[in-house]
Amino acid sequence: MGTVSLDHVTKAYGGNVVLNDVSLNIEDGEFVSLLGPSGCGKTTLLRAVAGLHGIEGGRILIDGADVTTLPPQQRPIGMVFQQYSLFPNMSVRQNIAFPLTVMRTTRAQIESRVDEMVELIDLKKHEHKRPNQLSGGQQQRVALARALAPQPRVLLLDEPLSALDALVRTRLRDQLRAIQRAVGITTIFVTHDQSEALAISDKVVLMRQGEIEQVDTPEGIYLKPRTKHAAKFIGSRSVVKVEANAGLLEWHGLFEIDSPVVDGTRVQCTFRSEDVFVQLPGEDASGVAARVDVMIFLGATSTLQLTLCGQADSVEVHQVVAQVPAKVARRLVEGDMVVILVRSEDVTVFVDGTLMDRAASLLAVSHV
Amino acid sequence: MSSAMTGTGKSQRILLGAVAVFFGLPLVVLLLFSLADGWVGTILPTEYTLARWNTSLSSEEVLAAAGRSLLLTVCVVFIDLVLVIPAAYVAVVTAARVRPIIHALAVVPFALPWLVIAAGMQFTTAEIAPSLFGSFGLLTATIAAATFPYLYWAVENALLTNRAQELSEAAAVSGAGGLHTIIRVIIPSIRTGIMSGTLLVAASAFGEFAITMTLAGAAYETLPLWALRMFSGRNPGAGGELAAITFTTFIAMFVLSLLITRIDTPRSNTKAARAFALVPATKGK
Repeated sequence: MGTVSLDHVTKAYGGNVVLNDVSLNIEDGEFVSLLGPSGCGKTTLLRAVAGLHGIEGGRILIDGADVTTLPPQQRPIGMVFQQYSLFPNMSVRQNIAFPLTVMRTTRAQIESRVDEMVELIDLKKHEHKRPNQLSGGQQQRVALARALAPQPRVLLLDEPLSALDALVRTRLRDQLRAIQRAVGITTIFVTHDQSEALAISDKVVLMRQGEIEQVDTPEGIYLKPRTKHAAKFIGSRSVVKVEANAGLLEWHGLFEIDSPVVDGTRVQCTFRSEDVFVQLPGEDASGVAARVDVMIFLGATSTLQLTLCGQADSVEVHQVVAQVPAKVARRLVEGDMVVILVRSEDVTVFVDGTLMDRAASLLAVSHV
Repeated sequence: MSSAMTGTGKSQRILLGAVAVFFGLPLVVLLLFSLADGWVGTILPTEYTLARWNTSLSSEEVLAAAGRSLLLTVCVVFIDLVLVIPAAYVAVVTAARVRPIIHALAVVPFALPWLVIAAGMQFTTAEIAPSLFGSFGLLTATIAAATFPYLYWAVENALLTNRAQELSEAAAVSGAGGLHTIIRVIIPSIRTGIMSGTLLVAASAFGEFAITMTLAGAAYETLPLWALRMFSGRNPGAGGELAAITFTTFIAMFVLSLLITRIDTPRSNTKAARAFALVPATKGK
């Protein structure tokens, strides 16, 4: 077992509330990511679970036991820090053995468990080295082994990949997930990198200003963001303001959808950059004309910053972002004209920052 | 190698040579003076002798004074280590709000002449605890108070450099309590800072005479007080002996520094190095 329950957790520094009535349940064996921008409270929440920060209100339960007032030493957790925090005076083996020696485990058990952990992180060749003789990725694997060695119920990972270069980061991310699955330990992972969270998690907890914005699967949070902020934070989206008119929401010919709100209501419509259908000039294209202002090469794809054309009477500039495959991008240069379109089912509507369920609204209207 | 680099190397050698002469020449002269049997009107002594070395190093008076200095130094170092390391740990790791207070205290011995500190201590004990007046305990405590900043700044710097806060948190989530963390993780990690701070405290305590003279005087004649007595001319012709003792003290401190430097140097990943580790070793493979 390794369930974690956060029950109305509140934390403040002076008058600054950093965790505001946070409640969350994490199931046994789940890999949950706390995702959000800097200062959203995700690290504070993780450290509260670890016992490194006290809380002003609420309760923290691990396996149903209230650990709110227990010090870190008495909580059944293991933790990996962003800067590794390996003990510089100890070798790899001694670092991994440290929590076991604290527990006063027998020498034979310590040796056996350390062997197992060294094998797990594949650092047999380096087991007698000091931390300063290892690369960043190797050090983080040692930190992971040290956290797992005493077989805690919950593993806490505080941005463990942030200090690593891109290649090592991706490799270690996959290793981390593989090890977590092999061990089956409940894991809470803090990150500000959405791609990392989406790639590795069973569940993503999106946080903003000390509160939980949305809890969902990676697919759910990506495809169906429930708030405007979630939509803006996850993936790359264009957000445009539209006023409902004649039962429709229409934006400069790019999309036209049935309105889930009464006429005259101003809403925000968003669509993902990869849902902007970019057609090359000369093709049998339908949609609106746009000019490629900026093209950013990303390898397999490119990001286009586009300005809609054709509103000669308008002084407003209407811009959208699109993501296109490399084979399309190769045929474009900045300044080119393209024709773009967004399918109505790819448009998400928010009123006052909250998602409007278009299907439900339409259903409600038809019932009336 | 480019000519520019050769030029830089040459100027570096000249600079190093100048520094060596500046620091080394007085010592060489001191050594020559202790060995000179006749030195009048010449650049170097005309005759040499080991008589003053023999006399001074076998003098019971000198040995007793050296013993007193050593005892005082050991006690001062012990007090400073016991008080300063936990205080610095608290200031850096557990209660950062007390740091400005400790910083203010750690500046006082640099700002005030030690003679003034000693006088202050004398007046205070005269008022509060006259029985302590002139005692070894008061002397030790006063010198420990005057020298603690040397250790404090070195230890605090080492704690910050080695990210003691993060190490303490890592130890805490590994299940270790505060004392266990300090002994097994923090002290070995900041060993360099402790060693250099200890060396400074030891050197200051061993060579201290203003506080000793004010608080204890002739009742507790340390080596510096003996040297001061020789220097003030109450024993005519004792300059050679004084030079021999001073040079011996310098050599002792120099050797001690070298030893500490050796200890500070990170050991390679050898079997012997693992044997020295301050944690229970796990089996070697």
